[in-house]
Amino acid sequence: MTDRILFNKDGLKVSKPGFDVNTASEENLLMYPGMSVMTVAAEGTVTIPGGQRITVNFSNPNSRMPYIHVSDGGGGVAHRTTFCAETQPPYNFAYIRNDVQGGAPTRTITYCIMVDNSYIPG
Amino acid sequence: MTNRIISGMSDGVQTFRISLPGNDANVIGSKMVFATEGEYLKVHAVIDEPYIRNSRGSYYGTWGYPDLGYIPLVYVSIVQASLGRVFFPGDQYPASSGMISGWGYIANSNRIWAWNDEPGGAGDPFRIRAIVFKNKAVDYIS
Repeated sequence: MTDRILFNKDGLKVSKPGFDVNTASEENLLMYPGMSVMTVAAEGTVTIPGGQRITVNFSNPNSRMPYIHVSDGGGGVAHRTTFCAETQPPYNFAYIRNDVQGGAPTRTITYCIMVDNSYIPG
Repeated sequence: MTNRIISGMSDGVQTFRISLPGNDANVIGSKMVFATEGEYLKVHAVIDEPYIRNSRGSYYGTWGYPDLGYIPLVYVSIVQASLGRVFFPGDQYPASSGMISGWGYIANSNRIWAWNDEPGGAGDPFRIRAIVFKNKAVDYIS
């Protein structure tokens, strides 16, 4: 069986299925020492009437640019002509917007805001 | 006490999991810090740089990052610098004077190119803000 988990003095490595953790390159590791990973800072599902938006505040002590995913329970495609998310420096809040489309219907929008607070430019 | 770290068999599968406080690592639906069943967005580089206007009045630029050896998943946003607004997804909306419409970008293993052949919105300069992930782009193309 392929070795997939390795503890050593450097830390912990876990490889993807089918890859030997002892020899796998970084893109084939699920976890490795110093990994800079995005984690969920805020998530939820909200119902927003057309023409309105909500504000979601979240912790982002290092002011990293977040990555935000939004989806519509009705199967609509997120876009700046339908619904979307917006953020601005210092990136500790986001608008979930259903106010960018004229005559927008009420939408149930699921959002996930991810932040990487461990990223160190190198 | 709730099991928060598993290394070995759980429900018939070999796994390594670390769950959040109050969540059982044996239950795959629990909130996890890490699970081998998951894939994670791993940041390789962040770009936050001026987006340059050329002699024709349009904008262009290229920005490098350490070579990955494959084409990474990237998120690119081009925004009016003074506003700093970042939209998800994308910023291509001609009705907004604060954004550039019709821009594009290309990414390879160590560089992003971005351009816009039409003069931008009412306000400039613009900035490019991008996240380059270590994840392979091909893994996210259906």
